[in-house]
Amino acid sequence: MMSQIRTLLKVLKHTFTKPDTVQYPEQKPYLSPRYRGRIVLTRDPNGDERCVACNLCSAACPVDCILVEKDETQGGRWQAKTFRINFSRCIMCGFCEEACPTHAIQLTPDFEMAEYDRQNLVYEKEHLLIDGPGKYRDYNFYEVCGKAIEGKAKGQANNEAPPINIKSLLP
Amino acid sequence: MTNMVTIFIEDLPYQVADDINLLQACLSLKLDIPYFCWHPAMGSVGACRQCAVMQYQNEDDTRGRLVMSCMTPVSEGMRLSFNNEKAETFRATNIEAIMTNHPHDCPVCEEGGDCHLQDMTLLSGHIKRRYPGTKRTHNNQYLGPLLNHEMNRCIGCYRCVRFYRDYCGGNDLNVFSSKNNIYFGRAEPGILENEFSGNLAEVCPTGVFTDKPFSQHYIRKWDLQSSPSICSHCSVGCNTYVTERGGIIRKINNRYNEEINGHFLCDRGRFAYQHVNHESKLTQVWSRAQQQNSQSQQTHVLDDKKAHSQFSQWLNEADAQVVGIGSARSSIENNAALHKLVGANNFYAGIASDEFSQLQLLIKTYKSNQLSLVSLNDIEQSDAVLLVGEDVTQTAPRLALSIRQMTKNAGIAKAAKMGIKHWQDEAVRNISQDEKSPLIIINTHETKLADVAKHNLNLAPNKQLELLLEIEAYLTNEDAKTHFSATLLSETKSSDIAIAIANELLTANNPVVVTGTHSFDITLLSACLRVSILLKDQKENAGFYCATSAINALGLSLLVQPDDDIAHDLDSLIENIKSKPPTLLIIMETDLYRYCSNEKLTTYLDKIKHIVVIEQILTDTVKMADLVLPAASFAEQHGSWLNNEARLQRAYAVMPASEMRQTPVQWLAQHNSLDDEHNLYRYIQNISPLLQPIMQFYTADKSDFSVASQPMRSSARTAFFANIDVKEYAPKRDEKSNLTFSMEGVAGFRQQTLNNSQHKITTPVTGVWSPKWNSNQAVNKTLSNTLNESSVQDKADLDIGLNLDLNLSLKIFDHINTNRFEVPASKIDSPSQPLTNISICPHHHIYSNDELSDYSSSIQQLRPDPVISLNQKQANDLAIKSGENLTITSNNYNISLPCLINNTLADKVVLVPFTEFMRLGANKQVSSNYSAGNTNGDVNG
Ligand code: SF4
Ligand code: SF4
Ligand code: SF4
Ligand code: SF4
Ligand code: FES
Repeated sequence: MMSQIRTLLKVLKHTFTKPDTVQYPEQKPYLSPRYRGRIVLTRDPNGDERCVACNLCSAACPVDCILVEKDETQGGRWQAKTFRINFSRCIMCGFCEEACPTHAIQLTPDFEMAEYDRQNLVYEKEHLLIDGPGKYRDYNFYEVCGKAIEGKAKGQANNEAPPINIKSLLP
Repeated sequence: MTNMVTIFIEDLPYQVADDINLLQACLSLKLDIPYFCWHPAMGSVGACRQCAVMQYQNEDDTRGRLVMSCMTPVSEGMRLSFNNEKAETFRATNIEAIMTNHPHDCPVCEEGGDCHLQDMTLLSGHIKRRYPGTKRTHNNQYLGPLLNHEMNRCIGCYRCVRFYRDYCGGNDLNVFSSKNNIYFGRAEPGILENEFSGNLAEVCPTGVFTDKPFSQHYIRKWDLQSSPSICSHCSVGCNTYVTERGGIIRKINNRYNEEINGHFLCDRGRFAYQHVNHESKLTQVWSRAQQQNSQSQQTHVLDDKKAHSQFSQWLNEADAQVVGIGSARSSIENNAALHKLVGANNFYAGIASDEFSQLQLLIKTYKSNQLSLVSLNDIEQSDAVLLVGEDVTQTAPRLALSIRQMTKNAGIAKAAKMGIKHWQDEAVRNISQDEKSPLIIINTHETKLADVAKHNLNLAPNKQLELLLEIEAYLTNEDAKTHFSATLLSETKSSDIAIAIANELLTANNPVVVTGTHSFDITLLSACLRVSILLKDQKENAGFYCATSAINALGLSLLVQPDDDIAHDLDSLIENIKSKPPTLLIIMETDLYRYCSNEKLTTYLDKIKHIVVIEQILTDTVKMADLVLPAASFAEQHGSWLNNEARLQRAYAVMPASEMRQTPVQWLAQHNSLDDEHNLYRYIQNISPLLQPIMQFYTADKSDFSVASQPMRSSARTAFFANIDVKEYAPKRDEKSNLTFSMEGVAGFRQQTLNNSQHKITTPVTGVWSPKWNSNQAVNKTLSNTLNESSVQDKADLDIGLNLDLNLSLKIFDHINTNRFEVPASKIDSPSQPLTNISICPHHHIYSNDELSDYSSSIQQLRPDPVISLNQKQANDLAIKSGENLTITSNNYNISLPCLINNTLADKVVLVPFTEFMRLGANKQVSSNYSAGNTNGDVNG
C-alpha cells in the first residue's frame, strides 16, 4: 500500500520537473561548437580559401565520400577545383576535420540536412564554402608554409630567413 | 661471381649475396633501413648518414661500432644490429638535423604521398619538430616545361647531381654554395638540356624536382589507377606504369625491368603521353557525305551501327578492291586484324620503303640465328661498343644511356682488381679516372655520346660504308690480320683506323655492334650486319642491337607476308594508287603526310573512292577520310609489341576507352570474322609462326583472378560520379584481361605472394608499394639482387611488386635455327675517291621524331625550330651564311629552311629535319639557286 502511494507521488512529482525533450523544430537544442554536423569549408583570416586540395580529408574518409581535385591559382596557391561531398554517404565521423592540415574542413553544429531526393545530398564546393574562418580564427596555413605565393615571397613566412644568395662566397 | 654468405642480424642468420652492400642486402631481406643518398643504379657515397647500423666484431662484442650500411660490404659471419638503441638514436638525431630547415609544405607538395623523405622520417621516429629557429630558404629556378623546382625542400643527398652529371653525362645541373646553403640547380635558370631530366622527379627523394605536367593535373599517388604498360614512343620498349584518374592520363612512371629500362626512362617516354588527353583526339565516328545536287561535302557524326553498315557496304561493293595500311605504332593484334580483313596481298606496312627493306633484311638475318640480339642490360654489361650511323641519343634515348654506362666498365674492372666493389661509387670513379671501355661512334655528326667515346668518326655516309667494309675485310682476312692491305683500300690513314676499331672489338670480351635504321641506308645496315656476324664467329659473346623507327616496326614487318615479290611498303602502295587506285583504302594509325609531300599525296588520295581511317588523333590523313573510326590509345587497350631485340611484351589498358573509341581489333571484328580473341591469336601465329609465344599472353589474360588497378587507399569512391548520379554503379572491369578498374581484386603488390599458392596470376602488377614505403623507392625493397640469378624459382618466391614473371617478355628469335642466311655484301662505287656529291641525311631529334609525341604540349615546347645543318666549309662552298635559307629539292617537293653551322658535321653532308627528309623522298638535292639573303626563316613544309 505504502509503496503504491510512493509510486504515485513520484509520478506526480515528475509532471512538474522540466522536460528533457524540446518542441523541435520550434525550439532548437543547444549544440556545442564541436558537434559533428554539416561540413563546411572555411576561409583564412584574410578571406582566402583555406583548402589547399591536399586530399588528406578525402583519404581519411572511411566511406570515401569526399572528392577533391587540385588546381593552382595564378599566384601559386593550391586550391580545390572540385570539392564534392556526398552527404548521403557521410557518417559525420569527423575524420576529415582531424586530417585537415589547414583547418579548412570543419564540422558544424547543424544537422538539418534531410532531403526528399538523395541527389540533393551531393554538395559541391559552392555549397560547402563559407565566408568566415569557422572554429579556428587565426590559422593561416600559407604563413607557415615554405611555398611562395603572390604576396608572400620566399623567406617571408613565419620563422624563415631571407633567401640565400648562392653566388656569395660566405659559408 | 655471386656467392651467398650468411650474416647475423639481431643474432638471426640470413643468406645474402656477397657482391652487394649491406644496405641493399637488408632491404632485400625486407628490413626497413632508412637511407637517402644510396641508389641501386648509382651506388653508394655515404653522404647522408641515415643508414647507420651497429656492427659487432664477434659474438662476445657487446659495444659494437656504428657503420653506414650502404658503405659496408657484406662478409661471411658478420654480426649486426639494427634495433640497437645507439643506432636508433643516431638515425633519429640525424634526420632531425636534416629536417631542421625543411619547410612545412607536405599539403602543397607534389611529392606528398609519394615521398621518400616522409617515409624515412616516420621510419626513423622523428615525429615532432623541436627546432624553434629560423629556416634557411632558397629561391627557385625555372627549369623548363618538364620539371618544377622547389629548393627549400632539399635535404642535400646529392642524388640529383650524381644522376644528372655522373650517370647521364649532363652538365647544366650542378651544386652550388656550401654547408646549409647548399643549392642544387643551374647556373642560370633555363631549360634542362639532358634527355633524362624527367627522372629527377623519381630520383630526388623529396619534392625539389617534381613532374610539372603532372602537377597541372595533379592526383595523389594513392588515388592513381595504374596498369603495366610499354612505352610506345620509340623502338626500345621500356616498361612503364601508366596512371589515370577520371579518364585523364596523369603521369608515366618507370616500371623496373632489369633487361631494358632498369630504373630510368627518357623524357619522350615520360611526357609524350599527353596526346591521350589532347583536345583533338578522336572520340566520335565521323563521316563525310556528298550533298545531293551540290559539290559541297559535309561531315557528321555517325553512331556505331551506321558506321558499321557504311563500312560493310563499301567492303562488299561489287568491284571492291580493298587495301589496308598497317601501323608501326599500333599493336600486333590490331595489325593482324587488318591483315585478316584485307588479305595478305593487300596489306601494306605503314613504313617508308627505305626502312622497310632494312627491316626485312634484319628479320632475315635474325631468323638465321647468326647474331645474338642483346638487351639494354647486356649492352650495359659489355666492354666495347661500335655505334654506326645512328644518333641513338635522339632516336632511342634509353639505349644511349645504357651505352654511356658501358663506358664505365673498364674503370669498374680496374677497381675490382684492387678489391673495390662496383657500388663504391666515389672510389671507383677515383680509380678509373679517364679509363673508359671503348665506344666507337661512326656518324655524320657528333652526338651527345661524344664525351665518352674513344673515337668519334664524323663521316659522310659513303665514307662510313667504306670504313665498315675495311673493318669487314680485316675481320675476314684470317691470316693477314696484322698487315692488312686489302685491294679495297688505298688510303692508309683510313685503314689504320679500321684496324684499330677491329682490334678494339676483338680484344673485348663481349663487344656489341649497335646501329639503327634511321640512316635509311640499307648498304650501311648490311655492312653492319656482316661485321657483326664476322665478329660473332670469332667472339662467342659478341652482340648486336639495331634501333628501328617505331615501337612495333619489327612486329609489323613480320606480319607483312605477301605471296608476290613486291615490297609491301608505303612507297610501293603509292605507286599502286597512281596506276590502279583501290576502291577502298583503310589506313590504320599512320599519318601518310609524314611520309609524302602534301600536293602529291592529296592528288593520289583523291583518286580513291572511299577512304577509311582508324586513328586516335586528328592528323592530316584523317582530314582526307570519308569515314573516321576513332581508335583507342595505348592506355585504353591491351596489346603486344615487339621491340628492337625481338622481345614480345604486353601492355594493359588503364581505363576503358573513352566515348566511341574502340581498338582497331574491335572495329574490324564484325567484318573480318575474328570476333573471338582466340581466333585472332591463332591467326597471328598462322601469319608468322615466330609470333607463336603471343599465345601465352592470351592464356594469362584468361586467368580467373582479378587484379586491382587502384591502390588500396583509393579515395572518393562514393563521390566521384555522385554529381552525375548519386547511385553507385558497379565499377567497370577490363573485359580483355583480369585487371579491374577499381580496388576490387588482389592488390597489385601482392601478386607474387599469390604466386606461391597454386593461383598463379601472370599479369604484372600495377604499382610499387611496400608496407611503410609509399614512395617509388619501395622498388628497392623488392629487387632480387640478393638472389642467385640463375634460380628463377627463387625469384618467383619473392613477395614482390614487380614484373619478374619471365613469361611476360619473350624473345622470339631465341630458339629458332634455320639455315645460314648470307647478308648481301655492300658495294661501294668508287672507294677512296674524294666525295663529289653532297649527301643529304636526316637529322633526328628526341622531341620531333615521334608522331604522337607531337601532340604532347610539354614536348611541343621543347621541339627545336627546323633548320638545315652543315659545316662551315660546306657553307663556304655554297656561299651561304648561318641563318640564311637553303633550299633542298627532290622529285616534286622542296623545302627552304634557315641553315645552322655545326662544325662537327662531316664534309659533304647536309642534315635536314627528319620529317622533311621523309617527305622529300627520292632524288634529294641541294638546289643551286638557294635563296641567299633571305634570313627571315621562312619555313614552308
Ligand atoms: S565526417 Fe567522416 S564520413 Fe563524413 S566526410 Fe568527413 S571523414 Fe567522411
Ligand atoms: S584536408 Fe583540408 S586542405 Fe586538404 S583537401 Fe581536405 S579540406 Fe582541403
Ligand atoms: S618533400 Fe616530402 S616531406 Fe618535404 S614537403 Fe614534400 S612531401 Fe613533405
Ligand atoms: S635536390 Fe633532391 S636529389 Fe638533389 S640533393 Fe636535394 S634532395 Fe637530394
Ligand atoms: S644511404 Fe648510407 S649514408 Fe646515405
